[in-house]
Amino acid sequence: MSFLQALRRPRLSNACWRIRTLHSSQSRFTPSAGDAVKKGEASPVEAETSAPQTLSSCVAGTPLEGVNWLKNQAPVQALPDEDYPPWLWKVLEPREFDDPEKAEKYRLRQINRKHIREKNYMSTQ
Amino acid sequence: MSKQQAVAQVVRILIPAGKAAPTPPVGPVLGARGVKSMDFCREFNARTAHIEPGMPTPTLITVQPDRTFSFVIKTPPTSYFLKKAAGIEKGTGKPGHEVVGTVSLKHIYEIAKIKARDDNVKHLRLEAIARTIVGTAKTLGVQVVP
Repeated sequence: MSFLQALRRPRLSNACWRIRTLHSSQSRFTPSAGDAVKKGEASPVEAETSAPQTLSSCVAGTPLEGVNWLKNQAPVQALPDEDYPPWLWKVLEPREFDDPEKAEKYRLRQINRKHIREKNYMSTQ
Repeated sequence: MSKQQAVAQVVRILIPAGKAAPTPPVGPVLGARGVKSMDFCREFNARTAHIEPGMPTPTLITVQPDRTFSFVIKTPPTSYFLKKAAGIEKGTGKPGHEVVGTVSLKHIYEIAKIKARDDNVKHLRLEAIARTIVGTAKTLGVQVVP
């Protein structure tokens, strides 16, 4: 949300912010076999990315629902964390670039888009 | 228009896989453009035979002026996969303020693998596709946890 929008609109409920701040909490998730964590929805506990064993709250072997789209497809199961590519664990974080030019281009594009959105919004007010 | 009927018409429609031919959605849309709906439905059902029946399948039907048609089939909508994975029927009315479901990164990975088969994302890395799916989850009010 932009600064202008934040000024205009009254603050809505803080429930979402509470959930959001849990993202930055550093609590460790300990998978227990009997728990059967369904789709990682037990509690929004984040695993430290520095601890390689518990990257994901979704335990290996959990059936992944909603991913079967072919006929007679075997139910898809979650694999152990090591079987997934390393970039997957960074998908929720903002992108990082090695090339400073690309980083600058990305940053400018974000700013431009935000500016356009704000301008469009202001033109409706 | 300078030309009378030389333009090919494009129809964008969501059809349950393997279950074409109902009159309400498909029939009138095609009939208005002069296409025999039975022909289309037979071909569509044959082409979507490998897909789980009932899956909403976006199709792009191009109808030529001489009433021949061709169609492209795409993978089901990302929002459909996310809603099924999170176990919800509808997304939230207040995205960014309400959370109605949770999904794991492993779900995102699997969904990205499915969507990667689409033609329009062939130039993207799987990571990029996964990021777009996370964006869709945000608009649905579905929280993605690692």
